[in-house]
Amino acid sequence: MSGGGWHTVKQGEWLTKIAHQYGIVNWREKIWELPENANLAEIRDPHLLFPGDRIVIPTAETKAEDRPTDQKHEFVRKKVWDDFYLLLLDAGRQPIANEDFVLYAGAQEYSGTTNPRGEVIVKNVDPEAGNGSLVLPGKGLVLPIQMGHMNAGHATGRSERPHYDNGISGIQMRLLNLGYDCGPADGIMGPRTRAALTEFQVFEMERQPDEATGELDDDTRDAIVDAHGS
Amino acid sequence: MLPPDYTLRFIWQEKDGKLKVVYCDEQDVPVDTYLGWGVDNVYIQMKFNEISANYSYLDEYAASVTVNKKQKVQMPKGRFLYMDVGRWLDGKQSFGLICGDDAMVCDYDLSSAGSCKPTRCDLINKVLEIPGVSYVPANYKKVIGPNAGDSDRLIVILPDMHVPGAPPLDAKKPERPSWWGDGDFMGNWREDPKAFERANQLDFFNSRASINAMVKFLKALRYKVNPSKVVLVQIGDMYELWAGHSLEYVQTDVAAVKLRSKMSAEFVGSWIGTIHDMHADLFEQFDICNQNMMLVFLHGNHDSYLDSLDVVAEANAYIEQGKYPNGERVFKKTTVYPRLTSFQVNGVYMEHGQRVDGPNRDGSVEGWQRTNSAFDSGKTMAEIGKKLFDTTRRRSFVTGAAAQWVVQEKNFGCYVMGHTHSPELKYVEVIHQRGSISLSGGKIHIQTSGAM
Repeated sequence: MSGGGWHTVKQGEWLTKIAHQYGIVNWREKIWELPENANLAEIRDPHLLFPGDRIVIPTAETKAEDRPTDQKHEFVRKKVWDDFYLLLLDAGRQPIANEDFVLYAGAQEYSGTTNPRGEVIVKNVDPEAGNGSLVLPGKGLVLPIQMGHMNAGHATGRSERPHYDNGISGIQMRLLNLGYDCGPADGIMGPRTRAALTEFQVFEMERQPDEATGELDDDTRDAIVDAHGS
Repeated sequence: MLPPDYTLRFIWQEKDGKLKVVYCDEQDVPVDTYLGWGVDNVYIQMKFNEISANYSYLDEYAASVTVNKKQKVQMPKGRFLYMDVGRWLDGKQSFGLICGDDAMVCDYDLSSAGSCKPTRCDLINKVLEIPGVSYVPANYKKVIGPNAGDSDRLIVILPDMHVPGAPPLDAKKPERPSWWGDGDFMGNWREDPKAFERANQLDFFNSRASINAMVKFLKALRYKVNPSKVVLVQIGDMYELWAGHSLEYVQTDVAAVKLRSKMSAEFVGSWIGTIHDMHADLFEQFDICNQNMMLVFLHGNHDSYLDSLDVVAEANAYIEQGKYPNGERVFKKTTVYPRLTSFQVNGVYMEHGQRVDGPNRDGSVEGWQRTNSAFDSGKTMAEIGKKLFDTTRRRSFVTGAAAQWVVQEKNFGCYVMGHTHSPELKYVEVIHQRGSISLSGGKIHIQTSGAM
């Protein structure tokens, strides 16, 4: 818990996780809707931040509770719980439905069954959830998960920010999730990324060869974000 | 032998849109032999068996996700572009062009205007400016993958030509011509009344018009495109060395031609020399191209002898000696080039494509043994030819390409072949799915399907 000020977003952070670090529960009102964060709130989703984004964090309010001495007292820290959604499709684009799963996220473990639409839905995910894996024993699927690592896909922002890459890393992460091999999500528009973009343009956007340029134009960016769901 | 926990499944989409499936659950024996020729299935199965142990069906990556948002993960689907460059004979001419990630199968018809929409690729556009060159939109696609072609190099792929060392058959004299050798390629002419008919149906006996077209095309290509930018590849079966000839090689256990006798190289060299003499204008053009272009010749099944450097040397010697018999000039000096079996430029892999075909005669066990079995089983050449040129047999070639793609660990995005005389350009998808997991591997379904 800290005393507030500027927080620079690191890879793997989303706003509720950040708020939890500072002991803030009502993150929307206390952080996101602060006038100092208005510019960022205008261009970002609080759950899809970008490394290098800077957020003003208010000083945490102190709360006093009178309790007698010489007794044990239990204090429960309030948390904000998140939900986790993930649609799973096989290579034939069919939903991986009605399969038991276990989501390992840091020290947390959640189990359930995918619904008929192939969705993994986990309610009340701890904000301390971290990297782990999604395991579907029946399908033999072990999918490494990097919780909170998804970057913004539309990264309008100031170019002097650290790690600013025009949203390329966010697009790369979505391409990988969609099964297009663009190499590591390094924010660099290299040949593998261009090739994956070309493939996406041909097969998902049904562009003609002359129009499948491999460039990350606005239509392609929108189509990738739409296909990914966020 | 396949591990017991592996299942291979091949799926092809037929021209009617229906999916055909072959399951290979048992060692060497497909459950469903729909493919017709078991040899094709066995071949694929062998290859997949070799690679299945070390092929990772999901590339190493972690899904980046967040909370409170809809998001999707879908399993990867491998893709590559399948190009069949067709044929250059019997008045029908097609060829392949690849530059950067642009790939195209073109037609060449001197009787047509050949106008077509330019592309974004300047080098391809230069070829499209050649009178008679055209393409249909379906035959223009993008190469898959980061290492497509070289955007500063134009790969021009010439298909099967089957240049014969004999004149066309005379329909008025349906008997075995005097130049016909003792080979059984077309069946027994004395005992089989249909032998002439079958031979006359083969498209490579009437190729003079196409040879003339090639001469014009190569001249125009040199004129239109900077030759230093061109990689000219002939995909094999440039020569017709089966029809009318004896068989001059024997079965071996290596993938190389083993000649039947010490004299065989000389025999075959004389056949090739004769072809060069008959069509010197064609081979002169290749010699001129060789001055500035990068030339690559592959061997096919009909000219697999050229895999032997002895044959190449004897052919050139025959031409050289034919230059001055009795002191008189007879042959024009043209060059017989050595052949490769396959060739790769970046993400473009080229081979003749006969490996998965029965009558391939490439001299290896896989080839010659299959050819033998095809003949020994009593099938006539007509039946084999029907399979060979029946487009429904395309599925075996697509499978062979997919097998090659997996074996080579996806290191090409475009597979180029000839052999079938049927030009085609389409995407092939390869899907790996693991059915169950265990430390020892798991059940893997491999699907291949032609998609577009």
